[in-house]
Amino acid sequence: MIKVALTTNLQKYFPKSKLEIEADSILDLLKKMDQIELHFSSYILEDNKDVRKHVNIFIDGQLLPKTETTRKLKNGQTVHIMQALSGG
Amino acid sequence: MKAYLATRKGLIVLKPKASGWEVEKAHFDGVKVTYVRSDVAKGWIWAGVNHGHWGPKLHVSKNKGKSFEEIVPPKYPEGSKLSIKEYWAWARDSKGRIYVGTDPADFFHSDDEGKTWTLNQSFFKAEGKDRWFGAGTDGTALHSILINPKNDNHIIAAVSVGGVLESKDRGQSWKYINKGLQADFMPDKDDPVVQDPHLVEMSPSNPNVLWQQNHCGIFKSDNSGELWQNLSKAKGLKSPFGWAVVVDEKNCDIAYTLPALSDETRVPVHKKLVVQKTTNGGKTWKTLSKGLPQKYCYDIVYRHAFKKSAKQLLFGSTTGHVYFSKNSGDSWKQLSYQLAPIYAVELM
Repeated sequence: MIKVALTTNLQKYFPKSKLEIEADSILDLLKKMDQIELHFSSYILEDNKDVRKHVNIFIDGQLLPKTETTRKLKNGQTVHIMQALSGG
Repeated sequence: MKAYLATRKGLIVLKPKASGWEVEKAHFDGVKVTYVRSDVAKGWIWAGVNHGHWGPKLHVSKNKGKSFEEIVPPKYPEGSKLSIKEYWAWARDSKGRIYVGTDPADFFHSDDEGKTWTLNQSFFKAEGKDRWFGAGTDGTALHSILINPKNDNHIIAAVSVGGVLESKDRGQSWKYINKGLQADFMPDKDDPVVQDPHLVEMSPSNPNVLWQQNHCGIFKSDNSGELWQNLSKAKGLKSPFGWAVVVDEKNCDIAYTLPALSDETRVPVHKKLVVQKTTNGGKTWKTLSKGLPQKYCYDIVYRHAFKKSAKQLLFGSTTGHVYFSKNSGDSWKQLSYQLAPIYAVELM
């Protein structure tokens, strides 16, 4: 299972702030989150499946490059999804 | 009749009361709402929002602004490197097909109320598209979709900066209809491809008549865009620059604009907010200012932020002010003083 933590700002668009989901990649994880909240992945990914410019995804604390959404996940890993802060 | 305001910080619904208007509800708090449009056939309201962090979304209200539901958004086909940045135009034809115009400038349609979308490939591959460029945004935007009320196959679309395109086969093919427009900012101002329409409107009573507020003037066509006449030097016109134009529902010779000083300054002429009205097809223009601020005024009105319904006119400005007339513009009342910048308004 993958532990998922969402920033407060995202909780308006997704019903749970913390959850555990079985998934083998970031894309697979978001696809499964779409099954819980229909449009959710469109909040995180550009149409071309890259991570949106102002969104950050961390896997076990490591920032995921925007173009690597096919990155494989291992059981027990934690994924944080949050807005990228820029400016004051 | 309610008023819908798309602002930098949400969508505001106003309803009339005995002494004027009041806010009925505010939606999408803190979120940029780029566009709002009435769906007269259904009695619905469509809104394009841009979350910044979370991207653009498309919503519809089926209960006159009490609540909105999110629609599956149009997307570029799998494998494309493009992503939609904002929604800038919406229209429905008489057969129920809905169209959406986007930034970057493209054209999508849906035959199932937005459950699935199709990118218009012919528009996507339009000749000369690689020469289009950004205007108010970094990229191009398709801001005007006009469907001939007498013929669903006849569609006009306009792009900043790109020009006006026409389809006579329901979007299967497109051709530029820019003849007569003059892009003063281009090396060749008669460039057939690169022109900057800010908004194009079709006369509801005579669809052959098109009006256009362009970056470089006010233009009108009496032959569905085959040739545009430049009205910019007409008697009484304060400025040829602006974004919005509205056309009377019953008389194709009556139109209204909101003049601004071009290009470098983008403030009202002499910092006085006025509406200009023609009743003779643009030959002469009258200035309407009763009730509008006439000193140190910086209100600019964007292309989608001016609407007309019978004798009622409404516009919202970049300084968050809303102005309303119930007598065809003869006098105006300011409805708000403290809203966020306004991008679009609607009356329904």
